[in-house]
Amino acid sequence: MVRNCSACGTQRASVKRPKTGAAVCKECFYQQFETEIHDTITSHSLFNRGDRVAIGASGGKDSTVLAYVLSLLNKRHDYGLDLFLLSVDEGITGYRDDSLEAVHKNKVEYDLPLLVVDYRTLYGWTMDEIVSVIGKKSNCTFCGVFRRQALDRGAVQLKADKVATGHNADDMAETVLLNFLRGDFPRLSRCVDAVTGRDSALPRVKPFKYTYEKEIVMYAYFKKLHYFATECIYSPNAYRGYARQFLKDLEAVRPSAILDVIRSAEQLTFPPPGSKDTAMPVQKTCERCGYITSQRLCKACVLTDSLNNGTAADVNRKSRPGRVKNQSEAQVGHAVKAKE
Amino acid sequence: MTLAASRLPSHPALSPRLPHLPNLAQRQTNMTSSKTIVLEFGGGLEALFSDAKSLSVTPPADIQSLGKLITWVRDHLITARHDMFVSGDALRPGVLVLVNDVDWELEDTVNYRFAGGDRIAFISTLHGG
Ligand SMILES: [Zn+2]
Ligand SMILES: [Zn+2]
Repeated sequence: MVRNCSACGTQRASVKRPKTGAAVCKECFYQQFETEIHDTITSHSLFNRGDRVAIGASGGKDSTVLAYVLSLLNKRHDYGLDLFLLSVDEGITGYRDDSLEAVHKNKVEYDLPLLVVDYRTLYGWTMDEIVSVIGKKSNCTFCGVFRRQALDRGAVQLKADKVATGHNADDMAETVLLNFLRGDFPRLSRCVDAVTGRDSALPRVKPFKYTYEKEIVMYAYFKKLHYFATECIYSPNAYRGYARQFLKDLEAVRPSAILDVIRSAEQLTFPPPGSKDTAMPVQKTCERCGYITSQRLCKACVLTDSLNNGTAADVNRKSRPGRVKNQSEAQVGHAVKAKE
Repeated sequence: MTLAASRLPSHPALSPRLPHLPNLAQRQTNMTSSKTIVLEFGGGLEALFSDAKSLSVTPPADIQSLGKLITWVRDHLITARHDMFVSGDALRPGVLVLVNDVDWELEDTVNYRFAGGDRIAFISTLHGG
Protein backbone atom coordinates (compact mmCIF):
# COMPACT_ATOMS: atom_id res chain seq x y z
CA MET A 1 0.00 0.00 0.00
CA VAL A 2 1.78 3.12 -1.18
CA ARG A 3 0.50 6.36 0.26
CA ASN A 4 1.22 9.76 -1.12
CA CYS A 5 2.32 12.70 0.98
CA SER A 6 -0.60 14.61 2.46
CA ALA A 7 1.28 17.90 2.04
CA CYS A 8 2.65 17.87 -1.51
CA GLY A 9 0.47 15.06 -2.86
CA THR A 10 3.13 13.88 -5.26
CA GLN A 11 5.89 12.11 -3.31
CA ARG A 12 5.57 8.84 -1.50
CA ALA A 13 4.89 9.30 2.22
CA SER A 14 7.74 8.20 4.50
CA VAL A 15 6.73 9.37 7.98
CA LYS A 16 3.55 9.16 9.97
CA ARG A 17 3.69 12.25 12.15
CA PRO A 18 2.79 11.43 15.76
CA LYS A 19 1.31 14.87 16.49
CA THR A 20 -1.23 14.80 13.70
CA GLY A 21 -1.23 11.33 12.17
CA ALA A 22 -0.43 12.95 8.83
CA ALA A 23 1.59 10.90 6.34
CA VAL A 24 4.30 13.01 4.73
CA CYS A 25 7.23 12.52 2.38
CA LYS A 26 10.81 13.11 3.48
CA GLU A 27 11.11 16.60 2.04
CA CYS A 28 7.81 17.78 3.51
CA PHE A 29 8.76 16.15 6.82
CA TYR A 30 12.03 18.11 6.93
CA GLN A 31 10.19 21.28 6.11
CA GLN A 32 7.45 20.82 8.73
CA PHE A 33 9.89 19.62 11.39
CA GLU A 34 12.19 22.61 10.91
CA THR A 35 9.33 25.09 10.64
CA GLU A 36 7.79 23.91 13.90
CA ILE A 37 11.08 24.39 15.71
CA HIS A 38 11.40 27.83 14.18
CA ASP A 39 7.86 28.57 15.44
CA THR A 40 8.79 27.46 18.97
CA ILE A 41 11.85 29.70 18.85
CA THR A 42 9.92 32.75 17.68
CA SER A 43 6.71 32.29 19.66
CA HIS A 44 8.64 31.83 22.94
CA SER A 45 11.23 34.49 22.04
CA LEU A 46 14.01 32.05 22.82
CA PHE A 47 16.72 34.16 21.22
CA ASN A 48 17.60 37.77 20.57
CA ARG A 49 19.66 38.95 17.63
CA GLY A 50 23.32 38.93 18.57
CA ASP A 51 22.95 36.28 21.28
CA ARG A 52 25.87 33.99 21.89
CA VAL A 53 24.31 30.57 22.35
CA ALA A 54 26.07 27.57 23.86
CA ILE A 55 24.49 24.35 22.61
CA GLY A 56 24.82 21.69 25.28
CA ALA A 57 26.31 18.90 23.17
CA SER A 58 26.52 15.34 24.44
CA GLY A 59 27.07 13.59 21.13
CA GLY A 60 23.64 11.97 21.53
CA LYS A 61 20.69 12.19 19.15
CA ASP A 62 18.94 15.24 20.57
CA SER A 63 21.92 17.55 20.83
CA THR A 64 23.29 16.39 17.49
CA VAL A 65 20.02 17.23 15.74
CA LEU A 66 19.74 20.45 17.76
CA ALA A 67 23.16 21.63 16.61
CA TYR A 68 22.29 20.79 13.02
CA VAL A 69 18.86 22.44 13.04
CA LEU A 70 19.95 25.56 14.94
CA SER A 71 22.79 26.13 12.46
CA LEU A 72 20.35 25.67 9.61
CA LEU A 73 17.64 27.95 11.02
CA ASN A 74 20.18 30.57 12.05
CA LYS A 75 21.21 30.86 8.42
CA ARG A 76 17.78 30.40 6.88
CA HIS A 77 16.00 32.96 9.05
CA ASP A 78 18.98 35.18 9.81
CA TYR A 79 18.64 34.96 13.60
CA GLY A 80 22.03 36.62 13.94
CA LEU A 81 23.20 34.12 16.58
CA ASP A 82 26.74 33.07 17.42
CA LEU A 83 26.50 29.34 18.05
CA PHE A 84 28.93 27.24 20.06
CA LEU A 85 29.09 23.60 21.06
CA LEU A 86 29.63 23.04 24.77
CA SER A 87 30.37 19.58 26.14
CA VAL A 88 30.97 18.28 29.61
CA ASP A 89 33.52 15.53 30.12
CA GLU A 90 32.53 13.75 33.31
CA GLY A 91 35.53 11.46 33.12
CA ILE A 92 33.71 8.20 32.46
CA THR A 93 36.02 5.87 30.60
CA GLY A 94 34.47 4.15 27.61
CA TYR A 95 31.31 6.23 27.73
CA ARG A 96 32.20 9.86 27.47
CA ASP A 97 35.27 9.16 25.36
CA ASP A 98 33.11 7.77 22.58
CA SER A 99 30.40 10.39 22.81
CA LEU A 100 32.95 13.23 22.78
CA GLU A 101 34.27 11.78 19.58
CA ALA A 102 30.77 12.29 18.14
CA VAL A 103 30.80 15.91 19.35
CA HIS A 104 34.16 16.50 17.69
CA LYS A 105 32.63 15.27 14.44
CA ASN A 106 29.72 17.70 14.87
CA LYS A 107 32.20 20.50 15.37
CA VAL A 108 33.79 19.77 12.02
CA GLU A 109 30.60 18.97 10.12
CA TYR A 110 28.61 21.97 11.34
CA ASP A 111 31.63 24.25 11.56
CA LEU A 112 30.89 25.32 15.14
CA PRO A 113 33.49 26.17 17.79
CA LEU A 114 33.64 23.58 20.59
CA LEU A 115 34.50 23.93 24.26
CA VAL A 116 34.87 20.88 26.48
CA VAL A 117 34.85 21.43 30.25
CA ASP A 118 35.76 18.55 32.50
CA TYR A 119 35.01 17.47 36.03
CA ARG A 120 38.64 16.90 36.93
CA THR A 121 39.62 20.47 36.16
CA LEU A 122 36.52 21.98 37.79
CA TYR A 123 36.18 19.76 40.85
CA GLY A 124 39.38 17.73 41.08
CA TRP A 125 37.48 14.47 40.65
CA THR A 126 36.38 12.41 37.65
CA MET A 127 33.18 10.37 37.80
CA ASP A 128 35.27 7.19 37.61
CA GLU A 129 37.09 8.31 40.78
CA ILE A 130 33.88 9.38 42.49
CA VAL A 131 32.26 6.02 41.79
CA SER A 132 35.32 4.23 43.11
CA VAL A 133 34.73 6.06 46.43
CA ILE A 134 30.95 6.13 46.77
CA GLY A 135 29.89 3.16 44.63
CA LYS A 136 27.29 3.13 41.92
CA LYS A 137 24.30 4.01 44.04
CA SER A 138 23.35 7.68 44.03
CA ASN A 139 26.42 8.67 42.06
CA CYS A 140 23.94 10.47 39.80
CA THR A 141 23.48 12.91 42.67
CA PHE A 142 27.06 14.06 42.22
CA CYS A 143 26.98 13.92 38.47
CA GLY A 144 23.77 15.93 38.19
CA VAL A 145 24.97 18.75 40.42
CA PHE A 146 28.38 18.81 38.79
CA ARG A 147 27.08 18.72 35.24
CA ARG A 148 24.63 21.55 35.73
CA GLN A 149 27.31 23.78 37.16
CA ALA A 150 29.90 22.65 34.60
CA LEU A 151 27.57 23.65 31.75
CA ASP A 152 27.10 27.05 33.35
CA ARG A 153 30.82 27.55 33.87
CA GLY A 154 31.56 26.52 30.30
CA ALA A 155 28.90 28.89 29.02
CA VAL A 156 30.40 31.74 31.04
CA GLN A 157 33.83 30.93 29.57
CA LEU A 158 32.26 31.20 26.14
CA LYS A 159 30.71 34.52 27.16
CA ALA A 160 27.40 32.97 26.18
CA ASP A 161 24.06 34.66 26.81
CA LYS A 162 22.13 31.40 26.84
CA VAL A 163 22.45 27.67 26.94
CA ALA A 164 20.30 25.69 24.49
CA THR A 165 19.54 22.10 25.45
CA GLY A 166 18.11 19.21 23.45
CA HIS A 167 15.24 18.35 25.81
CA ASN A 168 12.48 17.03 23.57
CA ALA A 169 8.73 16.66 24.06
CA ASP A 170 9.12 13.12 25.41
CA ASP A 171 11.66 14.35 27.97
CA MET A 172 9.32 17.16 28.99
CA ALA A 173 6.34 14.84 29.40
CA GLU A 174 8.44 12.38 31.35
CA THR A 175 9.56 15.14 33.68
CA VAL A 176 5.96 16.23 34.20
CA LEU A 177 5.05 12.67 35.20
CA LEU A 178 7.98 12.36 37.58
CA ASN A 179 7.25 15.67 39.28
CA PHE A 180 3.63 14.63 39.51
CA LEU A 181 4.53 11.28 41.09
CA ARG A 182 6.82 13.04 43.56
CA GLY A 183 4.21 15.62 44.41
CA ASP A 184 6.67 18.38 43.54
CA PHE A 185 4.14 21.02 42.61
CA PRO A 186 6.48 24.00 42.21
CA ARG A 187 8.59 22.07 39.72
CA LEU A 188 5.54 20.57 38.05
CA SER A 189 4.40 24.01 37.05
CA ARG A 190 7.69 25.26 35.67
CA CYS A 191 9.34 22.12 34.27
CA VAL A 192 7.63 22.66 30.93
CA ASP A 193 8.81 26.23 30.49
CA ALA A 194 10.66 26.79 27.22
CA VAL A 195 13.04 29.07 29.12
CA THR A 196 14.25 27.93 32.55
CA GLY A 197 17.21 28.70 34.73
CA ARG A 198 16.18 30.32 37.98
CA ASP A 199 18.81 28.10 39.61
CA SER A 200 21.46 28.45 36.93
CA ALA A 201 23.77 31.29 36.03
CA LEU A 202 22.32 31.60 32.53
CA PRO A 203 18.90 31.03 30.96
CA ARG A 204 18.38 27.56 29.48
CA VAL A 205 16.27 27.41 26.36
CA LYS A 206 14.57 24.35 24.90
CA PRO A 207 13.84 24.67 21.19
CA PHE A 208 12.69 21.01 21.06
CA LYS A 209 10.08 21.30 23.78
CA TYR A 210 7.30 20.34 21.35
CA THR A 211 9.44 18.08 19.17
CA TYR A 212 8.74 14.36 19.38
CA GLU A 213 11.63 12.04 20.02
CA LYS A 214 10.40 9.80 17.22
CA GLU A 215 10.76 12.64 14.74
CA ILE A 216 14.20 13.64 16.01
CA VAL A 217 15.39 10.08 15.45
CA MET A 218 13.69 9.86 12.02
CA TYR A 219 15.23 13.18 11.03
CA ALA A 220 18.69 12.05 12.08
CA TYR A 221 18.20 8.75 10.24
CA PHE A 222 17.10 10.29 6.95
CA LYS A 223 19.68 13.07 7.11
CA LYS A 224 22.37 10.59 8.12
CA LEU A 225 23.40 12.66 11.14
CA HIS A 226 25.72 10.55 13.22
CA TYR A 227 25.24 10.40 16.93
CA PHE A 228 26.29 8.26 19.82
CA ALA A 229 23.72 6.07 21.55
CA THR A 230 24.66 4.34 24.76
CA GLU A 231 23.40 4.48 28.29
CA CYS A 232 25.68 5.94 30.88
CA ILE A 233 27.41 2.95 32.45
CA TYR A 234 26.77 4.28 35.96
CA SER A 235 23.13 5.20 35.60
CA PRO A 236 20.44 2.60 35.04
CA ASN A 237 18.06 5.22 36.49
CA ALA A 238 15.21 2.78 37.00
CA TYR A 239 12.63 5.20 38.32
CA ARG A 240 12.87 7.47 35.29
CA GLY A 241 12.86 4.36 33.13
CA TYR A 242 9.41 3.38 34.39
CA ALA A 243 7.98 6.81 33.57
CA ARG A 244 9.60 6.60 30.15
CA GLN A 245 8.17 3.19 29.43
CA PHE A 246 4.73 4.28 30.59
CA LEU A 247 4.82 7.25 28.21
CA LYS A 248 5.95 5.10 25.30
CA ASP A 249 3.06 2.74 26.00
CA LEU A 250 0.66 5.69 26.10
CA GLU A 251 2.11 7.07 22.89
CA ALA A 252 1.56 3.73 21.15
CA VAL A 253 -2.16 3.95 21.96
CA ARG A 254 -2.59 7.67 21.48
CA PRO A 255 0.35 9.54 19.95
CA SER A 256 -0.92 12.96 21.01
CA ALA A 257 -0.61 11.90 24.68
CA ILE A 258 2.88 13.37 24.94
CA LEU A 259 1.81 16.83 23.85
CA ASP A 260 -1.34 16.54 25.96
CA VAL A 261 0.76 15.98 29.09
CA ILE A 262 2.90 19.02 28.28
CA ARG A 263 -0.10 21.21 27.54
CA SER A 264 -1.74 20.13 30.79
CA ALA A 265 1.30 21.10 32.84
CA GLU A 266 1.43 24.44 31.04
CA GLN A 267 -1.96 25.25 32.51
CA LEU A 268 -0.61 25.02 36.06
CA THR A 269 0.71 28.02 37.91
CA PHE A 270 2.59 28.05 41.18
CA PRO A 271 2.13 29.69 43.54
CA PRO A 272 -1.61 29.88 42.87
CA PRO A 273 -2.68 33.27 41.52
CA GLY A 274 -3.31 35.73 44.36
CA SER A 275 -1.24 33.90 46.98
CA LYS A 276 2.11 35.12 48.30
CA ASP A 277 5.24 33.79 46.68
CA THR A 278 6.75 32.27 49.81
CA ALA A 279 8.01 28.98 48.49
CA MET A 280 10.82 30.25 46.32
CA PRO A 281 14.12 30.53 48.20
CA VAL A 282 16.14 33.72 47.92
CA GLN A 283 19.10 33.31 45.57
CA LYS A 284 22.57 34.22 46.82
CA THR A 285 26.05 33.39 45.63
CA CYS A 286 28.28 30.65 46.98
CA GLU A 287 30.81 32.02 49.48
CA ARG A 288 33.55 29.91 48.00
CA CYS A 289 33.04 29.74 44.25
CA GLY A 290 30.50 32.45 43.52
CA TYR A 291 27.98 30.11 41.90
CA ILE A 292 24.28 30.85 42.34
CA THR A 293 22.81 29.10 45.41
CA SER A 294 20.19 29.50 48.11
CA GLN A 295 22.64 28.32 50.82
CA ARG A 296 25.99 29.55 52.11
CA LEU A 297 27.82 27.09 49.87
CA CYS A 298 26.58 25.78 46.55
CA LYS A 299 25.75 22.11 46.14
CA ALA A 300 28.83 21.41 44.05
CA CYS A 301 31.10 22.85 46.78
CA VAL A 302 29.29 20.84 49.48
CA LEU A 303 29.67 17.65 47.47
CA THR A 304 33.30 18.36 46.59
CA ASP A 305 34.01 18.92 50.30
CA SER A 306 32.41 15.60 51.13
CA LEU A 307 34.65 13.87 48.58
CA ASN A 308 37.77 15.63 49.81
CA ASN A 309 37.20 14.98 53.51
CA GLY A 310 36.08 11.42 53.02
CA THR A 311 32.45 11.81 54.07
CA ALA A 312 31.01 11.39 50.58
CA ALA A 313 29.85 7.88 51.36
CA ASP A 314 27.74 9.40 54.17
CA VAL A 315 26.26 11.98 51.85
CA ASN A 316 25.42 9.10 49.62
CA ARG A 317 23.75 7.16 52.42
CA LYS A 318 21.82 10.18 53.67
CA SER A 319 20.55 10.99 50.23
CA ARG A 320 18.65 7.73 50.15
CA PRO A 321 14.88 7.76 50.65
CA GLY A 322 13.66 10.02 53.39
CA ARG A 323 16.41 12.56 52.96
CA VAL A 324 16.23 12.80 49.25
CA LYS A 325 14.25 15.97 49.04
CA ASN A 326 16.53 18.32 50.92
CA GLN A 327 19.83 16.75 50.38
CA SER A 328 20.13 16.18 46.74
CA GLU A 329 17.29 17.70 44.88
CA ALA A 330 19.48 18.47 41.99
CA GLN A 331 19.06 15.12 40.53
CA VAL A 332 17.17 12.67 42.57
CA GLY A 333 14.43 15.15 43.18
CA HIS A 334 15.20 17.56 40.45
CA ALA A 335 13.45 15.92 37.61
CA VAL A 336 15.28 17.43 34.75
CA LYS A 337 16.94 14.91 32.56
CA ALA A 338 20.65 14.75 32.97
CA LYS A 339 21.39 16.02 29.56
CA GLU A 340 23.56 18.71 28.18
CA MET B 1 0.56 -5.60 -1.46
CA THR B 2 3.32 -3.82 -3.25
CA LEU B 3 5.11 -5.61 -6.01
CA ALA B 4 8.65 -6.47 -5.10
CA ALA B 5 9.67 -5.10 -8.46
CA SER B 6 8.71 -1.61 -7.37
CA ARG B 7 11.28 -1.75 -4.59
CA LEU B 8 14.04 -3.48 -6.40
CA PRO B 9 15.62 -0.58 -8.27
CA SER B 10 17.17 0.71 -5.07
CA HIS B 11 18.87 -2.64 -4.59
CA PRO B 12 20.95 -3.16 -7.72
CA ALA B 13 22.49 -6.33 -6.36
CA LEU B 14 19.13 -8.04 -6.56
CA SER B 15 18.04 -6.76 -9.94
CA PRO B 16 19.17 -9.88 -11.81
CA ARG B 17 16.28 -11.66 -10.12
CA LEU B 18 13.78 -9.34 -11.69
CA PRO B 19 13.25 -11.37 -14.89
CA HIS B 20 12.29 -14.38 -12.80
CA LEU B 21 9.23 -12.62 -11.42
CA PRO B 22 7.05 -12.73 -14.49
CA ASN B 23 3.76 -11.65 -12.97
CA LEU B 24 1.86 -11.12 -9.78
CA ALA B 25 0.29 -14.59 -9.77
CA GLN B 26 3.66 -16.22 -9.97
CA ARG B 27 4.90 -14.07 -7.13
CA GLN B 28 2.03 -15.17 -4.90
CA THR B 29 3.25 -18.75 -5.14
CA ASN B 30 6.80 -17.59 -4.57
CA MET B 31 5.72 -16.19 -1.25
CA THR B 32 6.08 -19.61 0.30
CA SER B 33 9.80 -19.61 -0.39
CA SER B 34 12.23 -17.88 1.92
CA LYS B 35 13.44 -14.39 1.13
CA THR B 36 16.67 -12.62 1.79
CA ILE B 37 16.30 -9.22 3.44
CA VAL B 38 18.61 -6.67 4.98
CA LEU B 39 18.17 -5.70 8.62
CA GLU B 40 19.63 -2.46 9.95
CA PHE B 41 20.10 -1.57 13.60
CA GLY B 42 20.55 1.87 15.11
CA GLY B 43 20.16 4.01 18.18
CA GLY B 44 22.11 1.57 20.34
CA LEU B 45 20.39 -1.63 19.16
CA GLU B 46 23.61 -2.58 17.35
CA ALA B 47 24.90 -3.67 20.73
CA LEU B 48 22.32 -6.49 20.78
CA PHE B 49 23.61 -7.84 17.49
CA SER B 50 27.33 -8.03 18.24
CA ASP B 51 27.67 -4.39 17.10
CA ALA B 52 26.44 -5.19 13.59
CA LYS B 53 24.85 -2.15 11.92
CA SER B 54 23.34 -4.29 9.22
CA LEU B 55 22.78 -7.99 8.56
CA SER B 56 21.63 -9.83 5.48
CA VAL B 57 19.33 -12.64 6.60
CA THR B 58 17.09 -15.30 5.10
CA PRO B 59 14.37 -16.25 7.58
CA PRO B 60 12.56 -19.58 7.07
CA ALA B 61 9.72 -19.55 4.55
CA ASP B 62 6.97 -19.46 7.15
CA ILE B 63 8.24 -16.09 8.45
CA GLN B 64 6.52 -13.59 6.14
CA SER B 65 5.16 -10.75 8.24
CA LEU B 66 7.08 -8.15 10.21
CA GLY B 67 5.35 -9.38 13.36
CA LYS B 68 6.75 -12.87 12.89
CA LEU B 69 10.07 -11.50 11.81
CA ILE B 70 10.39 -9.66 15.12
CA THR B 71 9.96 -12.81 17.18
CA TRP B 72 12.28 -14.67 14.86
CA VAL B 73 14.95 -11.98 15.28
CA ARG B 74 14.44 -12.14 19.04
CA ASP B 75 14.88 -15.92 19.09
CA HIS B 76 17.66 -16.31 16.56
CA LEU B 77 19.73 -13.17 16.21
CA ILE B 78 19.86 -11.34 19.51
CA THR B 79 22.73 -12.26 21.74
CA ALA B 80 21.93 -10.16 24.84
CA ARG B 81 19.47 -7.73 26.43
CA HIS B 82 16.39 -8.95 24.60
CA ASP B 83 14.27 -6.50 26.59
CA MET B 84 15.79 -3.59 24.64
CA PHE B 85 14.16 -4.98 21.51
CA VAL B 86 10.93 -6.70 22.52
CA SER B 87 8.52 -6.86 25.39
CA GLY B 88 7.06 -10.33 25.12
CA ASP B 89 6.19 -11.00 21.50
CA ALA B 90 5.77 -7.33 20.64
CA LEU B 91 8.37 -4.84 19.60
CA ARG B 92 9.31 -2.65 22.52
CA PRO B 93 7.56 0.72 22.34
CA GLY B 94 10.17 3.34 21.49
CA VAL B 95 11.82 1.21 18.80
CA LEU B 96 11.16 2.69 15.36
CA VAL B 97 10.84 0.53 12.26
CA LEU B 98 11.35 1.67 8.70
CA VAL B 99 10.74 -0.49 5.66
CA ASN B 100 12.82 0.76 2.74
CA ASP B 101 12.94 4.17 4.44
CA VAL B 102 9.18 4.24 5.08
CA ASP B 103 7.77 4.40 8.61
CA TRP B 104 6.21 1.00 9.26
CA GLU B 105 3.17 2.77 10.68
CA LEU B 106 2.37 3.57 7.04
CA GLU B 107 2.86 -0.09 6.10
CA ASP B 108 0.39 -1.80 8.44
CA THR B 109 3.16 -2.44 11.01
CA VAL B 110 3.29 -6.11 12.11
CA ASN B 111 1.07 -7.21 9.23
CA TYR B 112 3.43 -5.98 6.55
CA ARG B 113 4.56 -8.90 4.39
CA PHE B 114 8.12 -8.34 3.40
CA ALA B 115 9.60 -9.04 -0.01
CA GLY B 116 13.03 -10.24 -0.99
CA GLY B 117 15.47 -7.32 -1.00
CA ASP B 118 13.54 -5.29 1.55
CA ARG B 119 15.66 -3.15 3.86
CA ILE B 120 14.19 -3.08 7.34
CA ALA B 121 15.64 -0.71 9.91
CA PHE B 122 15.11 -1.00 13.67
CA ILE B 123 16.14 2.12 15.56
CA SER B 124 15.85 2.61 19.27
CA THR B 125 14.85 6.03 20.56
CA LEU B 126 15.43 4.95 24.13
CA HIS B 127 19.05 5.85 24.61
CA GLY B 128 20.02 9.20 26.04
CA GLY B 129 20.54 12.19 23.87
ZN1 LIG C 1 5.50 15.89 0.42
ZN1 LIG D 1 30.36 26.86 45.26
